[in-house]
Amino acid sequence: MFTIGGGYAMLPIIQEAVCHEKGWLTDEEFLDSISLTNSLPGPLATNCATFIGFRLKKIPGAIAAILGTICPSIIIILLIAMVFTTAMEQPLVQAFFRGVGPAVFALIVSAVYKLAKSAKILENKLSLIVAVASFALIGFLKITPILIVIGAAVIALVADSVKKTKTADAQKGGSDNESHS
Amino acid sequence: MNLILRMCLAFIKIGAFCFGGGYAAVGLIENEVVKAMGWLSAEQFINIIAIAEMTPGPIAVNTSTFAGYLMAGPLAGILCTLSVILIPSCLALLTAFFFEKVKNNPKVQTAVKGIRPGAIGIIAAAGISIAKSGFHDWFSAVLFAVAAFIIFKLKKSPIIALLSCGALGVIVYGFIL
Repeated sequence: MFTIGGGYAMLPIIQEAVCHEKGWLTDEEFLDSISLTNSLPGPLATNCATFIGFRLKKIPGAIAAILGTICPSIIIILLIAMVFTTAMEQPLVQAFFRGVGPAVFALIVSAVYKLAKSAKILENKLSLIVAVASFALIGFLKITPILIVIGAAVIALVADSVKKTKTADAQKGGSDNESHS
Repeated sequence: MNLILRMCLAFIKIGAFCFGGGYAAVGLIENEVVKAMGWLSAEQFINIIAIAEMTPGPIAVNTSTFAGYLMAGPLAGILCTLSVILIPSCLALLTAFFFEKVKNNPKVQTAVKGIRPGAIGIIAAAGISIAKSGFHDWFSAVLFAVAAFIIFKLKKSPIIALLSCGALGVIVYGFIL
């Protein structure tokens, strides 16, 4: 409910409520649940709620936790949406949203920047190539983003196994040299 | 096929593939709802993002509810939201169920990390169309600079950037231009 600013803003609040106030989980169990649900698609908040709800009270717990997470948002958005269309007929409201447009673009730039930093794409050539290629494929060639997601995962897995064989070879080579000397 | 049913299927697909945080979902929703299906205009979608960011709750959830509502009313808003979390929630359930087995699976970690650069491309591509319909005149460039300054230099929350630019919009577009 009090989580303006997306999933990560929510985590300390969930942790406080679940681990300290209610004592449902230990901090360690909570961190495990985050690192696991982080690998899943979809909103972090609902994934985390599903996971914790299930661990506490099985399926009913999971459903209760999901509904508890999404209901306040749905209600608030529906209320706003109901007045939105009428409000947009006011010239001053139109002026407000005309001003907001460039700020939304700035938010997109900031989301790209943050993700680029966390994926360290400037330090990793392969990531940089994948990022630029995805952008070009979707933006100019109209490839569906779903293929991009699958392709990026496959590339990462292949690159990882190639790297592993290389390091294995290098280690083997290294021990051969040692035995010669 | 019924419109609401088609929307639900689209949002189930979006939910299944949105790795990389709320804005990855925004990018996928934009691609599907604005570009592929033409259910909403780019202008409408910009307003949706602005409101989703300014209201509490996960951005993917807020965007889905609002987009669903604008496309086909309150029921569609609720169904689109449930659709977008359907597959992620099922996966979270499976993860909780097989907790010990999946705890440290390196393959999954590698794949998920590998998707991140792809997610960057998805968001950036949505950025092109947002820039196209979000910029109207020279003053838009000024507003973009103001927003970027608030977010990157002052490190303030995006909401402050949105509200400031909205207020400047009211003054400039409402009374001057």
